[in-house]
Amino acid sequence: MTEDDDDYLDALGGLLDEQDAEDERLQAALEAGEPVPDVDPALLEALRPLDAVELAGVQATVRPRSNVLPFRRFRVALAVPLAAAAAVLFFYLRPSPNALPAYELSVRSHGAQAWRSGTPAPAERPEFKVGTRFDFTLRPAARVDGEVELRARRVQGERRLPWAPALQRDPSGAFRVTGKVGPDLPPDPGDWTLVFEVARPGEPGQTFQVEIVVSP
Amino acid sequence: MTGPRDQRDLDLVRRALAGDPTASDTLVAELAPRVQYRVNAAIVRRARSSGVGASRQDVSDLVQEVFLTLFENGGRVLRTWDPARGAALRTFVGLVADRVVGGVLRSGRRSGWREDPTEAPDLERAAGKTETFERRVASREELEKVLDRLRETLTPRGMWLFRALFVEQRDAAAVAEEAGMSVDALYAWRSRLRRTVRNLRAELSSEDLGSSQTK
Repeated sequence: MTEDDDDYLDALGGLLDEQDAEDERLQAALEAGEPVPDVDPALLEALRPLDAVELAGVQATVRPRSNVLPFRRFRVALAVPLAAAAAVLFFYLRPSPNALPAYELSVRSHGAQAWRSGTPAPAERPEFKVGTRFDFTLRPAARVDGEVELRARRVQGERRLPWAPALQRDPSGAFRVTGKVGPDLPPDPGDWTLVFEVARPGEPGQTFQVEIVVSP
Repeated sequence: MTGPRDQRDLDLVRRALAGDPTASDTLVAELAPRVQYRVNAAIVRRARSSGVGASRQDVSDLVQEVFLTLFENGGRVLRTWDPARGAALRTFVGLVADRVVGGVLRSGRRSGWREDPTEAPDLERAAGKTETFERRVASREELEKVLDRLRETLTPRGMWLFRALFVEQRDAAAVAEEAGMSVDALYAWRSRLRRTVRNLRAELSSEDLGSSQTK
């Protein structure tokens, strides 16, 4: 039995050795931007290195809690370029009474470079065309313990409309809102302000306002 | 034996786990490529074997899961890294990634960090059950499944030992010295590894049988 077992372990070791070599070829191809035999190009695209926004999200997930918003009001400019259009986003942060860590909003959209708060603001509102995907992520500067919720609404002039997009929350307290303009964001054309508020249940929180234009 | 790089990494890990946010960010930035390397490799292996793809968000989420595993509970897993026990930090983190990602891809969720059965003293009880297991020539498919399970089962240290002995085929005495253990302890570990693999094969055989009966 022991001899058979050792043969089996050697076989496993040989397979692992083969897989290591395959992994190295994959990595080399990814770094060179070359196709990989029998791997769907769409999958290869998903495997590209994390960008700055994604890395910042991971860092925020595990960063030791140390930065709590001071009890003062401040405003931060946020820039978001989408597909072909430049964008201007503004978000306002208010301190939460029970000290949620500062959240950061980042926005990604189909085919566009990811942007996040603190980057220079482009000159025009982002254009959300019907059928295109949007992706908002709100990440805390440190892990959030306890209950926290994300509220969303749409505002056009005097109209304040509820908006209940599909949300994902991860263990760090980050929220992600993704979907398509149309099924997940009403395709009413015109200028809109999307408002996100991260808060403890029943309490005021940090508010982010994203100004967009929806087009057919 | 540790070199300057190990000492520098050890210092960075200690500062990050002591609550230094700059050190934490630096550590994540430096380790993220290694983690993603392992995530990508696991995703492509699965795509090749089962045709299941992955989205960009899947990749990002898996990378995050690995770092959560490393840092949660006060960095319990990360604290087990000891350069004096063989693996460099990047190797160690890659092995953690293999274990976490394997579990998530197979079960769809992250499990708690389990103890390595090759480190557990009571494994003997389970070993007897596998004696009646019908032995057969291992197919490549079975080997791949067992190897995937082994990645999930062994701790980074266990996987490092497995690589040293069965991939690199290194001399047991040299491996034991580098791992900071006696040769006898290494042989005992290898004996437990045999039983672990037998158990994994038995589990897979049971699953295959159950699967065919429900079809």
